[in-house]
Amino acid sequence: MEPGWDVDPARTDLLPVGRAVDIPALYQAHWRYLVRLAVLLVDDLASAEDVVQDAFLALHRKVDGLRDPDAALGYLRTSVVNLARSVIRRRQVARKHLKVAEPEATAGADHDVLLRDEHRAALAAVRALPRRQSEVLVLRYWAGLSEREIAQTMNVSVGSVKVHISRGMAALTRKFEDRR
Amino acid sequence: MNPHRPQGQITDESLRSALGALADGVQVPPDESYVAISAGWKRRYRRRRLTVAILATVVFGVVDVVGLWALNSAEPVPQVIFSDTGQPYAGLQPLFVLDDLDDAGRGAQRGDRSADPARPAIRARTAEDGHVLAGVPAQAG
Repeated sequence: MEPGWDVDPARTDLLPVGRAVDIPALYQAHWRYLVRLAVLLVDDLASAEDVVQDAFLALHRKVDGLRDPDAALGYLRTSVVNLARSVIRRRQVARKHLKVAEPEATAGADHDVLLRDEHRAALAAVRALPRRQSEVLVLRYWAGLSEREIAQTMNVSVGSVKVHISRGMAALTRKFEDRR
Repeated sequence: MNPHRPQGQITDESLRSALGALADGVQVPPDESYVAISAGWKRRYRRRRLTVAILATVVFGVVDVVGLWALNSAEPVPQVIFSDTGQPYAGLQPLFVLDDLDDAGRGAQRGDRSADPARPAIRARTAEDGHVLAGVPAQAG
């Protein structure tokens, strides 16, 4: 079972019944997993819940157009990544132009979580990476997706995923070396 | 801390562990029934669409009012946009005038391969200074 999964994704009995997408079953099986994924991407629980709600809403609206019901989880995951990206972009625009929320003014998702210093430093370093690199690292090392699955989720090539992973890890290593 | 890890290097395991620690520590609200929670989403979605529809209506209405006001405040004098009653090129000077007509044979004598024996070459000059603009100049004499 992959880390972060509340329900093993290999258990097809919790996935769509027949050829129709069973959204309640998807919700029950993957809600927590998707919220945690969104938290890692947007660094804020309230925004993460909104992102996952919007992803389910999008699935609900487009469920008739989904050709392969087994792809529903992938669709949800892609929606979460894209919506999280939109949230971060909106937040950056707000910080840049409206000056309503400085980065230090907003507590991160790890604010209330007791983390070791080592973990906290690693998370800070991941957040400081370019957006795509941090997304790829979260999908690779937390969600446990393969490079091909990450490529499908982010709608990029497998080669691009490999490059992002390699550059992201190199940047993290550099940051840790500077820190010591 | 992993004693086998080189100083200053982050490993796959440490990154996985850090991300997992954060994700596991997030207190996700307890599950509600899908029916109950999806009703809330749909209500939010309907409210959002209603807001967009109201905004679009307001913008459209304002633009309409501004357009009607602009039309209403225009002078009631008939504004002629197109009229074919006047001379179409009145007031314009001709760019050049035809000065001379050459016969078909001269072009052929100069070896001008583009000369068409059936079409006479023309010489043209401007109306003011007689500068040749186009065509084939006629030979003297």
